[in-house]
Amino acid sequence: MSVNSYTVQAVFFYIFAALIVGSALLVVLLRNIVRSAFALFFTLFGVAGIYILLGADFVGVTQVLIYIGGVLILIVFGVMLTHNVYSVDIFNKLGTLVMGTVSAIVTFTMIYYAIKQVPWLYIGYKANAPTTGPIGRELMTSYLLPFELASVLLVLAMIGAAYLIRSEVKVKKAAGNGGPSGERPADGIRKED
Amino acid sequence: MMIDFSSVFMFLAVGVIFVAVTMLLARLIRPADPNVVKMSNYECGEDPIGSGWFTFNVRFYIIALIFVIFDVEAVFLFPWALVFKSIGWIAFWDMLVFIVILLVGFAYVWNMGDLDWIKDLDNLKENEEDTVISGTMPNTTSGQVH
Repeated sequence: MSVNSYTVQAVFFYIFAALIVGSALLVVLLRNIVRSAFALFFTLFGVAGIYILLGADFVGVTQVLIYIGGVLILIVFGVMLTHNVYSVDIFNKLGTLVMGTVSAIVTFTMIYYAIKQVPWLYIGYKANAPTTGPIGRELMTSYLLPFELASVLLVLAMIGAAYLIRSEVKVKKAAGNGGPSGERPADGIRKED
Repeated sequence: MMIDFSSVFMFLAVGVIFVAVTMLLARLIRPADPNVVKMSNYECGEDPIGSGWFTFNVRFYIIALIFVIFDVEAVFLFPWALVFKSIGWIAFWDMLVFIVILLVGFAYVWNMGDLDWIKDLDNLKENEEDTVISGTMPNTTSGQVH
């Protein structure tokens, strides 16, 4: 690898880093939670870019597929399920600002010292080899049990979530026919079940 | 590998630039005289009723959640497919177990009726006004979604 390609990598790193930091700031600072959710898209996307720059191609594409394609959708749905989403005003009190600053500094210090102390292996050009095949081989041989257990975990998550949501719907139904009309949006047509 | 992703990046860049240039060009060319009809929300040609900001049905959430679960499953299929040929039938049985376990969850969700959109068809008659409204709900919201 020539010096030139490292410069290109550095440029891309700073592009993605700026994207992550900028959009993450938007997520926190925007008052409208729908806009925050959409800003989160760019944060997750930038993280995927960083993964790929680090040579973790499988993780990077997984990030796009699951976090952007799945978890973000879930978050957007969660936002849309929020009661009176149009008038939800996120207001951070001063106390949370102080707490947030302290926890940010502590987290940064921890990560900084971790990075400084780890003896990083230099593997050079090998880091750019595709990783999906080796990951598959490891999953099918050395890590077969964790692989199968992962599906059990997924099933547990699915059943648990379905159960919780179902009980939620039941509670709403039991709360009364039509519910308290004062909480509905002004137009009666869009009312939830 | 970086070379492969540089082509991905090119697609990305072209996509972003294409949209940006088109929007900019349209902004330069078009006359700007907004009126009430033009500024209204686009709802597939229908007159929008009320605000677009309303609480969605909670059943969207369970569908999205099941989607995420199977999204994760699909991701596991890619590394498996790459080594399937070299490992052979063992890999086939491994993946079969993996998928069958997930299908148990799917069967549970299906059986409990979480995938049915209109749940209480039997109860439609009682409590008429409320159920009629919730019966029309799917149409209203699916019009909203796309």
